[in-house]
Amino acid sequence: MNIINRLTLRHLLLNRGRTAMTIIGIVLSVAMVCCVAGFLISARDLAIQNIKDMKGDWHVAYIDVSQDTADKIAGEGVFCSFYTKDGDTDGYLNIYLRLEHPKRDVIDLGRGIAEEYGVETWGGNTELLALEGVIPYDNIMLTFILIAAICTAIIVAGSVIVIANAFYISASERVRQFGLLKSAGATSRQLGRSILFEALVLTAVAIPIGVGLGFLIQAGVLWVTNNLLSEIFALNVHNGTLAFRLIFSPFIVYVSVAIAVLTVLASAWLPARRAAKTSPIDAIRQTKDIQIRSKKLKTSRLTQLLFGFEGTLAAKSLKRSRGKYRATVVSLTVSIILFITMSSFIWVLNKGVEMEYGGYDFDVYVAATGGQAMIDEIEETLASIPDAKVQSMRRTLLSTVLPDGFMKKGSPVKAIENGVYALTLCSMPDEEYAKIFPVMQEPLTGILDNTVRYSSGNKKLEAVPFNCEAGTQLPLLDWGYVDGPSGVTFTVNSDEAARITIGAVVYETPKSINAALFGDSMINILVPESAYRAMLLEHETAMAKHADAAFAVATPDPDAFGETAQELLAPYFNENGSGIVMQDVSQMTRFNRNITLLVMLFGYGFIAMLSLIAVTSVIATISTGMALRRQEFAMLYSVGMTPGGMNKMLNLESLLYGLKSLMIGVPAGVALSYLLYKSMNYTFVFAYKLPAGAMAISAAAVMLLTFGTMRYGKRKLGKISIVEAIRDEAV
Amino acid sequence: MLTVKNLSKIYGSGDAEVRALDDVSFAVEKGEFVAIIGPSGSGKSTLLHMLGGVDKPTSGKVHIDGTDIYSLDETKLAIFRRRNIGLIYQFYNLIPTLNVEENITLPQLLDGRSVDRQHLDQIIATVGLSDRLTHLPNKLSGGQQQRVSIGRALITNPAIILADEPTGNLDSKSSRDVIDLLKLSNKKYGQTLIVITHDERIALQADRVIAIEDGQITRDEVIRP
Repeated sequence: MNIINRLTLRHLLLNRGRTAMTIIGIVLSVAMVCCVAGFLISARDLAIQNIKDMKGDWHVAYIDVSQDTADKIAGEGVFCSFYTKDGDTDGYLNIYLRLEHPKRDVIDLGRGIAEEYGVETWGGNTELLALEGVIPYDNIMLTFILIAAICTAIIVAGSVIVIANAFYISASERVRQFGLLKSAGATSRQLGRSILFEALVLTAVAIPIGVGLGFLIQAGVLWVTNNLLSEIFALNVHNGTLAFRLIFSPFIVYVSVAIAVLTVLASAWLPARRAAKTSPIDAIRQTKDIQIRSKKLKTSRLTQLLFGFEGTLAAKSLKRSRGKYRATVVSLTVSIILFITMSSFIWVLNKGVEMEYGGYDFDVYVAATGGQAMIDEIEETLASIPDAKVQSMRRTLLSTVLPDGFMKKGSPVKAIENGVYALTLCSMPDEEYAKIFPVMQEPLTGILDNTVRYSSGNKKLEAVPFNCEAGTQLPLLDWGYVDGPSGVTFTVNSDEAARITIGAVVYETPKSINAALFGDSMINILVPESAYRAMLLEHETAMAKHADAAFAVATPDPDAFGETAQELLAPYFNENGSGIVMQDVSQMTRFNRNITLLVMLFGYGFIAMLSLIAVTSVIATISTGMALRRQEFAMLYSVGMTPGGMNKMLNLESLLYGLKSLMIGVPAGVALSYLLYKSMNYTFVFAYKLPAGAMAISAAAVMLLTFGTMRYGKRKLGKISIVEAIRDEAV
Repeated sequence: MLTVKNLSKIYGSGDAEVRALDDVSFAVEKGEFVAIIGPSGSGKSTLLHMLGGVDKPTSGKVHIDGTDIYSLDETKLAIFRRRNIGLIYQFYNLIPTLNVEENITLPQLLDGRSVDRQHLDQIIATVGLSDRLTHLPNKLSGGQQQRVSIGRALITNPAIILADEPTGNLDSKSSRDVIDLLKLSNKKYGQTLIVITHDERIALQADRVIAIEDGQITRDEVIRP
């Protein structure tokens, strides 16, 4: 090993902290790329397994052919394997064939053979062919692949930035050392090679760890996923088992290694060129670092005005070390964007899951019709069953006439019959009600839940259907069915049974209420339980016949609960017109929960990885930046900057780092999250919500990180001995 | 004006102990121009740093204008430094992101004071940089950079100017300019001037020469009373 490479190694060993940071950066990036690529491959494998399970492992199939034709078709040279099944007609076969090397024209080929042998019914397994990469995907698959590609691209871009950043700093730190070497006679070529050597050493250490870690993480994620999804798989599988498999594809390793090496080389190339071009003395004094035109150093008067001279100094020093400043800001910005986008993505997906599966979060649904006393007894009985937690809602289905302008344009709520709408009064515990609206009794008030969920075609929609202000009054009308000559007709008793005043309007169902317990009508008004009971007693004839109750039961063992409930509630079944409906929704709930968990697992896992990478690179950048500025700090001390002034300057620098990243990151993240939301809108329609929580968290985290790192860097620098720092200048 | 009493500075301990300054005492009158000479490692730079309040002595006291500077806390010392002491180093130590004018006015800016334009113009004219005010340090020659740092030392009208080998890095013409400048401020504004130098010719222009060897004063003679 030559002397320059030995020096390089020594430099890496001496700056152990920095070297470790760089390696961690590369390791995490490689692991992440590896993990994502691996997961994509596993997902494709699962899709192939699924298709093979559902449709079979074949490319072309011919239906209802004679044994003779089947033999002939199987004899065609293009096929490598086949199997047959009995056809629909006796004595005829269905033959399913795989091609050895299927090409894009596989369907034409299949048609050719069909025509040749006069087979009428035949087909190609287009899904399998598409998954095996033979023919192009159809639109839906393409959308999925596009989403996966975007995610991968984001991860790769993030990794590239992090690696480049970590390496760039490590290399620029050595510029001074290069100057010394150069003055001792090292050629530019030798220096360039030493940077490449450093790159190789770092990647050689980092890549195996990264690849190993990537597979490990992937294995863990797949294991958890398989456990969570086993129920869904079990529902879908015809024969055999279906599960994500960990696939050791050399392709994954190549891709991760290629990305890491290319990135490191590219980031090494810049400082290598700089080292080659810089004159020895400039390199020693590191004046290249600060060669910028004065015009670019203009800082705004506002900074001066707001933060005083220390502010101006802070702004200037950020502008001076543009490369590092930018690297830090870019790292931070990328993480902010990803954090906001991902958390919004999780929200959007969860919302979709909730809309698709009804947001069930309990195990057994019980509905009971009957008088109040009986319903109270049923509730008591249910609550007495061990291990069961019962949440109840009393409801009365009524009808109403809506005032002009109450209905929004395009509202999905439809009248039952000229101007009369179905309306449900739902009871709510008094104390919960009082949290939203304080008036409990006389006149009757209610809270309007101004969101409805419904489906239309393939779409699931969520909308705000009404223009309703607090204080609006609605009539409550009795209704009924009458058997007539033309079947059952709906009648409304136009006498107003009661009148309700909307005390408050909510756009999200209160947390204490289970929206799954709402009835079928799209107008749901929550009323305090005490008022609800009083009203039912008062208007017994008009309302009581449409009153019922719904119970959400959470229990670890739905079967046992069902049996016990059946037994205990036996006296109430079908007794003078009352009915009890019991439904085990535990499977749906578990499915719902598992999907939600899965989304969270991937989403937050992704966020955690990226944040880790970003944090590493930001800490590395800022803390080395601090170390490099020892002399500058000493200088400022010696002309009389106070320790307080120094802290102020550094705090302002952190603030500027953070603000700049947030200024770009937050809007970009919001824009991206909106795009994601829009893409989801093809199937699930609901109102966009600003990811305010994620925005606040990212702002707080960024500030904590920048301030924390500056503080840490300063502490590590310790009390700068002005004398020593200034002496350092004289190399 | 400046009194040094039993000043000692010890680096390291035990076997590695180095006495950079060993019980040094002297006093300097207001307006005096003192040259401190001595071989490398004699402790002269250490002495100057002690006088400038940028390094703490192991024992002993330094009084400037009646203030015991090491009795001040760090913040007060920094403020005292920017108001009363002008420091000039061999390597200029300018802030690379500030232009000439900002570098010169740095101590005042740190003090949050507005700059007296007339006074600034006068100083800029004195150091001969009127046409370079908006230049950044890296666009200046060594001599020009050193003149900027002298301008910075003069801006606050400090009672005392301390220069550590101010010409150590300069050619002979620039060295002459710099020393002339320092002498001028010494005469014109009556500032006390203490210069560390290797250069015999500079030492001979001083009012008084103090020679240091192994951390002790070996000679202290007044050349020009």
